[in-house]
Amino acid sequence: MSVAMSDSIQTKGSIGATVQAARPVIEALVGYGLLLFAAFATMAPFLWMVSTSFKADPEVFQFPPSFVPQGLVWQNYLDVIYAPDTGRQLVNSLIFALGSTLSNLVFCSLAGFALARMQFRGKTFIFALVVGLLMVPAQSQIVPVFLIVQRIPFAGGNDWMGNGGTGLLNTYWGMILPTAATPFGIFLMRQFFSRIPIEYEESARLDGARPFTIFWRIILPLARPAMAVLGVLSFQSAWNEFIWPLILTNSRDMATLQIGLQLIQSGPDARWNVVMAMATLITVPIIVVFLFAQRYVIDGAVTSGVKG
Amino acid sequence: MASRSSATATGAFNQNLGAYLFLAPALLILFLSLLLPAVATIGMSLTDVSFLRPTTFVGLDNYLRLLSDGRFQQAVGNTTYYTLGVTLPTMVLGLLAAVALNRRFPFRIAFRTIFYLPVLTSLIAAAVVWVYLYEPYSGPMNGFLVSLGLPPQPWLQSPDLAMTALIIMAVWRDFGTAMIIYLAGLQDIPEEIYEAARLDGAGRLAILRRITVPMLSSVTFYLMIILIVQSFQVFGAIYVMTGGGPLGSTETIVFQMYQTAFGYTEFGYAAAMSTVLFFVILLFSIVGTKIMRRGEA
Amino acid sequence: MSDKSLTLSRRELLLGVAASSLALGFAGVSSRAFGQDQQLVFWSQFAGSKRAAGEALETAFKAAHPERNLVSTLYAEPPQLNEKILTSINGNTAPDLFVQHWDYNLTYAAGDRMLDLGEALDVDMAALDPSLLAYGHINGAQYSIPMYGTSRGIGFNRAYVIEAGLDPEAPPTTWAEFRDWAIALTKRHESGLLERAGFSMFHNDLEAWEVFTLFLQGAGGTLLNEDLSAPTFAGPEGVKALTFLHGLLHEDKVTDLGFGLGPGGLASPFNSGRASMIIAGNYSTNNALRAGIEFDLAPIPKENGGYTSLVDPFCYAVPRDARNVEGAVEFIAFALTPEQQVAFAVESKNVPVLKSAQQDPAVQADPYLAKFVETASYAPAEAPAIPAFSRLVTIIARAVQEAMFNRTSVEDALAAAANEVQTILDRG
Repeated sequence: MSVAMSDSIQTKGSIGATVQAARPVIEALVGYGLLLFAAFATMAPFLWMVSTSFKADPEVFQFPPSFVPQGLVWQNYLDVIYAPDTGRQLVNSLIFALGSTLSNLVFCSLAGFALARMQFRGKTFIFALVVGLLMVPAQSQIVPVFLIVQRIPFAGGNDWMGNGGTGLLNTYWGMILPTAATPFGIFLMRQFFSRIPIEYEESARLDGARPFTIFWRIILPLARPAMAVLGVLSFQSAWNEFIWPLILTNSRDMATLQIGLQLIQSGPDARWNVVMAMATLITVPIIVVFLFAQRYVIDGAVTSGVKG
Repeated sequence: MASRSSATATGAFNQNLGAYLFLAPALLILFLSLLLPAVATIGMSLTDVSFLRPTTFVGLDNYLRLLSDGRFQQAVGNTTYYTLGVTLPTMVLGLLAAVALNRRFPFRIAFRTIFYLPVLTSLIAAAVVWVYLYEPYSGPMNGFLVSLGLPPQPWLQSPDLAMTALIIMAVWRDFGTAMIIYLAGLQDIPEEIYEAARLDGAGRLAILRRITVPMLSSVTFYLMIILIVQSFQVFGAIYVMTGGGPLGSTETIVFQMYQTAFGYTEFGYAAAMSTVLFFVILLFSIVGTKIMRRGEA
Repeated sequence: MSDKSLTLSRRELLLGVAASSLALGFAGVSSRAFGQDQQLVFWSQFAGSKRAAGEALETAFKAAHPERNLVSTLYAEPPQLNEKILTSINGNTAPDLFVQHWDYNLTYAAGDRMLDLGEALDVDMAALDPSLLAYGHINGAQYSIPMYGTSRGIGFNRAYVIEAGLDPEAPPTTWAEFRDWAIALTKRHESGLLERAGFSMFHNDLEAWEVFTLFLQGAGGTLLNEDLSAPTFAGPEGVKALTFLHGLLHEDKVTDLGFGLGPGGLASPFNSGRASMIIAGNYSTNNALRAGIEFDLAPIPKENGGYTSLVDPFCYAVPRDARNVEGAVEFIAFALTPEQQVAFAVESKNVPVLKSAQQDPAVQADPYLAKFVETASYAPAEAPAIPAFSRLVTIIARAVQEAMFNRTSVEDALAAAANEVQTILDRG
């Protein structure tokens, strides 16, 4: 596969070169061929997921697995869509994922900007702390985070010491809190902000622009590719997040789509075609977000409207 | 003299204050969701807390127990092997895919999306297909080996090969993420640098090695750290595929930690595992950074 | 609702964390107020194929006892419910009642967090299946009450049995006959690669423990001694059982190690027609039939005649500090009535705990369920009901696999495991 990639790079690069006329064409064909091969290898499990979501019961267990379903069983999708809680779960998932994405975009870019482009006391320490927190395993944090969310002062009937009530349990705020700013995001933004040449902000600084103005008017527009990546990754991880919505809420009304998916794939005799139908539906929003964001990833620094 | 120093002090103070304001919201969230729980975890590791029975302070007993826990050591070995196997290939493939798809050509958006699909594929669907790919009897992987004249392998069914098989799957799953991060990084490299290199007659590989890779070093550093961290904390993908078997050869630290905490309600002992894991990740991140710096120099 | 929260969140996020925490407080207050009525909070694990049965039970209870104000939440898997219960017990947000896989309940009970239902519940315990009931009994008290159990038998593919010239109406009655079946039902390619396992023994740790335990019982042994204070599985019966399984694998080659490995029931070699026999439970029925397998069930033979089995119950438990103990107890009693027991069993295809329901015509009318009820009757009346059960499973499963992979001898593997189990039992 790595051979495929470097070959295609060669192909692309050689288009500008003036060699014989036929060579670029052949190279382009080889390049496309290898890309197509890589694409199929990459896509096969995804295709199988979609294909299984259309299969009738017996075909699901067929070995070797079939990639083209014998018929299209839309009932699997109807079973998912008409399940009583699906609508509610979709709303909850959207609130959770969009809330988490938005707060990551805001908080991580602010913090990343400070760490990359401002001078202040304790900078090295704070950066080390952020990278250090990256390395803390989430699974050992379940009980402490639950207790902290429950003890947020003044929330959910709590007093100023955080006692007496349920804190942020069973609220969207509580669900979003553990994912609202991540070391991953801060680190990512810091790395990208630090790559922007200093000349871009120097003139603004000489004009007496405040840090926020520099951040908002100069650095952020230049970092649109990085923001797009952060947006995709945050949305995706929140959308797929299972543990915090499970632990931090108690009622059916707060369940997300991932919890719904767990419910239908529960036990050794789950109906796998229905599970795959739901899994397929759940990936659609991420693909939409990805398609939307990848334009910024690639064209972020380009102001002209040329399309690829 | 006095007035000058006070003026710089005020400037520094303003600059400090501004930076702290930028950082405050994120740090508050990190404090609540990570730092405080992490400190609590270290505290818990010195006790026998079960969250069910009364807790007593046990000092370093949990850590001493880890020293003689063969299963834990096996898991540390497995996870380290996994991390070493996943990190570099994922970065290399991600970079190559990003460079290939950074050019303008028909269907590039389709290819970009396709290379990103593995991350989006349901883990169970991915597992089914990979289990089939590795199937000793009719799986394509062995078909490929046989066509090359090599002996077929038991892959996931062998304690010696199972982890390697899982590494290949993990690279498949992760390189798309590396790709989009590299794609974002490639946007910052001015086209003029490439033009100049081309005018100097540099070949494509030379351009990749002498311009693209060095210009992306801060992105590579990020990816390396992220991949080390994520690989050491791997859990779900492996458990869907092998359940930790055969013979514990694919058991990971985080799985044991989870099982010890929630399965055996030994939260204190699990907290000690978590603390050890933290330091292992730290160590590997530092070593990785050192190697990267040396490679650049 | 959604729109409102979205715009709210955007403004709040821009205002910063300090301001937002106030708003969070209000959101919390409203949900808190909602939670303060006298409710019966039930955390259910009746998910998957039990979902319809669980929902019918709740609907019936609501109709019979509207004043109890039943509020239920459904959890997909026992480990997930376990995470919820362990966190909520510490946050004082635990439910009044939950239903969970039995071994977790013993852990909670060992921490003295559960109510003794033997005292609190006004139900005739003698009417319940003792082999299921045994799994909720610990420290001289009945901390959890089974709703249903799954039992184990030999699941076999009738088509393959007939194809091999065997009589599906006369399944094996001894180990020797079982071995003959397994050999006859195995199909290998010329190269020796396995095409169809005669008996696919295990596909994960739990099943490795299970198959060993069943054959251990078949040789006349038990996992633990009578007062559950010491392991007995490494004795001559255990060695005999594991040696038999080892022989099936290495001499008779009825399967390969790791054959059929993969995610959950989706990769099951039995359902994909690649295994002739497996250890089957009630849960095996649905997908085997969906896959179009000619599924049938036989009791698991003992070494020299007679049968054995395992039961695996899901049990109700009530936290000691529950706010609505009265309602919780009433729900359990309701679920144990003959009517509800039969309805739940028929809908979910599981073995009811109530003995009279097991023999009810409606239960017996389902051919598979009837067979599982029969195999349940071969399960021993005692259970390895110790809080450290899940660790026992891990240790034994590892020992079984060490022997199967020829890493150590059968005797050494079992002896080492017994040592480890003893340490854990001594720790209490």
